[in-house]
Amino acid sequence: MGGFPDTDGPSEPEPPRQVSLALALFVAEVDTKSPRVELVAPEDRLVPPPPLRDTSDSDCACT
Amino acid sequence: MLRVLSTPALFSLELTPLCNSRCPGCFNVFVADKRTRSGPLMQRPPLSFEQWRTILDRLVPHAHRFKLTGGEPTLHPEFEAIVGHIRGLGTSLTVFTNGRWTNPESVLDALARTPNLTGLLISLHGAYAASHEVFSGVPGSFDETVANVRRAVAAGISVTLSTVLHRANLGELAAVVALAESLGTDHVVFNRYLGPSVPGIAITDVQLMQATHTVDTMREQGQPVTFGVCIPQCFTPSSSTGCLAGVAFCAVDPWGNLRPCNHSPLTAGNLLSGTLEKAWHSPEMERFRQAIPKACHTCTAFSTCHGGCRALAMELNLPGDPLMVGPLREFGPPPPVQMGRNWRPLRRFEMRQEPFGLVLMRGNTFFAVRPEATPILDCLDGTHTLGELEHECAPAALSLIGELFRRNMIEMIA
Repeated sequence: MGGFPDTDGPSEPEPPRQVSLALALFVAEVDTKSPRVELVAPEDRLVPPPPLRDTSDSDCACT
Repeated sequence: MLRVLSTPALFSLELTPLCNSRCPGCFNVFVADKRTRSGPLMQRPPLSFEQWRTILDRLVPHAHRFKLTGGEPTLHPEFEAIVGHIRGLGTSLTVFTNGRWTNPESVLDALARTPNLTGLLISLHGAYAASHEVFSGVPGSFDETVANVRRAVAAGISVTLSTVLHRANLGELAAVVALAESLGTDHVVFNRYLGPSVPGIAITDVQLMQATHTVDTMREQGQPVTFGVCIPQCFTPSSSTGCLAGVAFCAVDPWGNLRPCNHSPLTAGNLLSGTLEKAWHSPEMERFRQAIPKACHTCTAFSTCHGGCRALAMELNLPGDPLMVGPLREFGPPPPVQMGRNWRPLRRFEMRQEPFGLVLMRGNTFFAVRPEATPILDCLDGTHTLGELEHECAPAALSLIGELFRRNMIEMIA
């Protein structure tokens, strides 16, 4: 028999929701996603990027 | 909802309305007649050094960075004195200029002696004289700007090029980046053209979309390029991020009036006759903040995009940025972040306490966190490995560190 699934029956427990520590300055009414973080073992010799200068200077004007 | 800083932290100080370029697409709000570049405000003397000093002294407790602009800021008759005062204050400083200086030696001497100068942002709108000068409107301006970029780099000053995407340079974006590298500049900021459509300058939406993808392809290949002006994510997905006008950023005009941004003629109180707090929380500023279309609040890209350019929407009397299409249902997640378990994160940001939490600031990048993040931030001192932090802290800590790494707010030590 078709129809809607039985919503009263036992269901898979949802995994505990991780509370983000980040706060958006522009807060949407919908969830925004954080990047997935992977830690790589030392033997894989992942090299960190060189110290970066602050290259965030930009401007939305044209002088 | 917006989380507005209690007072702004990024101040764009428009030292003078005057400019020696004649850009046909100029969006200078002081110019009443675009054709003749005239108007009553262009005749009005800007604040003197003494008056700017009073304003700077009032702003410095709030300021994360001062940006000097105009008009062309070096045309202020006391430009060097103003730079000298900011040098003494120690606040981070950037200067946005067209690179056409009446007295290059004096300008460079003042800037090179300023250790808190983060860098210069210099307008160069093409890889060749023809394309640049279509935009600048001044024959010979390409050679003059390029020569001064070389001088600044030779003086040890960090230079970023600012290039507006326009009809004459669309085919030479890679050449602009190659020129930037040959001049020794740090990177190129590509900007979408803002303002009413100007024949010969304005590009079509399809051209902008193609140029956006070209810039992002260069970025993915490791080229030093970024976007300046926000490009709404619903127009086309890109690495562009939204602006902080009215939330953390404001402009101060040549007469000391606070404005939400350089492109908005809206004034919200004078900083010589009134307080920063009163102007920042004025009805005018609130009107600017409310100019974000309601639909943006239901968009999954809102926290990245910030709702497009509010100043342009208000200028054109539109309900929103003209490039906007509508809210996105699926945006992200951002690409995964890979970090070494043995890396030791070191913070490179300043912190500011706000009623809603902590705001972390590096350059123009702002990132807010809950107060509960404080113990984790305290650990980002270069002595704890990520493996240790993963073991000792809640899983959310690693996610936060990944976000900070992605935003270039922490450095990693191997």
